Amino acid sequence: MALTKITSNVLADEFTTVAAMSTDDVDFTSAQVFTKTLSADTTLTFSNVSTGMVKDLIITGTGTLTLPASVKVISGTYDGTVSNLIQIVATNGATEQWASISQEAV
Amino acid sequence: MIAIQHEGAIKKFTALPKVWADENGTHLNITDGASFGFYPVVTPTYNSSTQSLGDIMWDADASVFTYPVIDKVWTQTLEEMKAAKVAVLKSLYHAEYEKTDWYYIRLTATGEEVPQSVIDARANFKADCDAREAEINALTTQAEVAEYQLPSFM
Repeated sequence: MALTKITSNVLADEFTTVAAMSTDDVDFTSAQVFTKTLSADTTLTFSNVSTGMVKDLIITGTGTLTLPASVKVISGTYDGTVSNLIQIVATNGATEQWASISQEAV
Repeated sequence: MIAIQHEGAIKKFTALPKVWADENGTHLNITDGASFGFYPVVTPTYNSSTQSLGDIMWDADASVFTYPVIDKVWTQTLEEMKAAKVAVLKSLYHAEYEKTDWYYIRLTATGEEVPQSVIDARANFKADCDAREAEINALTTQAEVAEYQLPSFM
């Protein structure tokens, strides 16, 4: 039996696409990377979260960014003057996610 | 210094935390601390000789965290405090007095006279010590004794 190799070509959009967020909801099944520029205090919500999902938020801009209470920040701080990579790992569905925040090394 | 009431306790921070989690979410990059419950910590002026600060508390009228100023309660009586103060005073002067004792040892050993300036300085020193002792003994409250400033010869 021939070995079937899975390529990125067969992956769904939720693993391969970048979405510019027009709302404040992060739909974990809609894209892999989400981008947003803050211009005011912003509260994000998460939807369709399942254990094991990993999503990347690229966020910049000023204002207080509030993540759901289920998010625990492992490391890093937000700097609105540059792009921030906020990587979210869902460790217990919608109940618990862990976040690490980082910026480009200068 | 700022503080916040959280989970039944007042937590202090040197500055707004970079990450703050509460029942409403995990907040990053907080700019308006008051909207999250962070308020300045104000240390009231107080006399550390006669007063101390109590536990940090919320002052709703001023919208700050602060400390109550509590008058000290002394375990010693007025006379005991005076005696202790005078003892410290005398030890300070005694230490200074000893610095010129060698002139008198030399006088005994060699017969060389003690300079008049040294004799005068020691006499002034003794008079000053006696005057301060009298001042302490004339104090009428424990707070006055606690506040009495002893000389520094550093």
